[in-house]
Amino acid sequence: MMTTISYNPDYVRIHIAEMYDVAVGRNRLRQLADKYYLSTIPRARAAAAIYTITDLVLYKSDNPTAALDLDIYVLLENDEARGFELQFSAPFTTDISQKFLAAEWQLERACDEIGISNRGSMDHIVMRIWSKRGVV
Amino acid sequence: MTTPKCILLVEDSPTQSQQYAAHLRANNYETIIAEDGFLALNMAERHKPDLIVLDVNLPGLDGFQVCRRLKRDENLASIPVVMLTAADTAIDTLHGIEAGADDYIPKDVFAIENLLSTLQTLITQPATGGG
Repeated sequence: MMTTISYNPDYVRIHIAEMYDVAVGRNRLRQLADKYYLSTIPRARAAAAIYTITDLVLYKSDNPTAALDLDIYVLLENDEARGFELQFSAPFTTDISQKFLAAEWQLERACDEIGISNRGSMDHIVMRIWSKRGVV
Repeated sequence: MTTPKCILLVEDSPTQSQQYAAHLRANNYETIIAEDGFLALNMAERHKPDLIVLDVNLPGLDGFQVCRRLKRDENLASIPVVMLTAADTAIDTLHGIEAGADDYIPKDVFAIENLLSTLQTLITQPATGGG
């Protein structure tokens, strides 16, 4: 059977400007996970990914006023919830891949796939966390 | 009426353990409390709780060590372990998962709500080891 990956239309958008917003993000992530019966481990890994990116943007950034926007989607595989996609948008003033090196240990363990793109002055980071590692 | 599920709460701060125990009791969970890592292992063996809520910073063995020992013991490995801790960084969370924890909950403003939701998920629907 062919595998089809799609997004659940029910998603969460959070503006993150301080660590309290990370707590809000974790809570919304939990609510999504509960609603779609995603297990606790991918949710905890997604929470670690959110913390890592927030730490890079807010506290290791060259821009002290930096903030980021986060969209959390539930990924569907053949219409069944299988994981999360985290979409971050943030203004970076230096090469983001250099910043990622500093957090390599966390990112390798927290997510299964990472994609980075740049449009104008904004970087877009997409992370996928699957219920079972290596599903896609 | 169903028999309350038994939660072993491992927390070295009496103030916090009483606070969490009160919330758990209010939600129809029975709680037993251990104040250090060695006592936690002993009580887990003796009482075989339905779930263990484990702090990270403990006297003696820390929470990661306790979790690893629990998950290595074939008599205790199936008991879900939830780490509930002030250590909330990504590294802490990942260490907790890699030690075998079934969930990792930072002690933030949503801690109680998140803990109760996790208990419901893990006790009624055991972790499948996803991730």
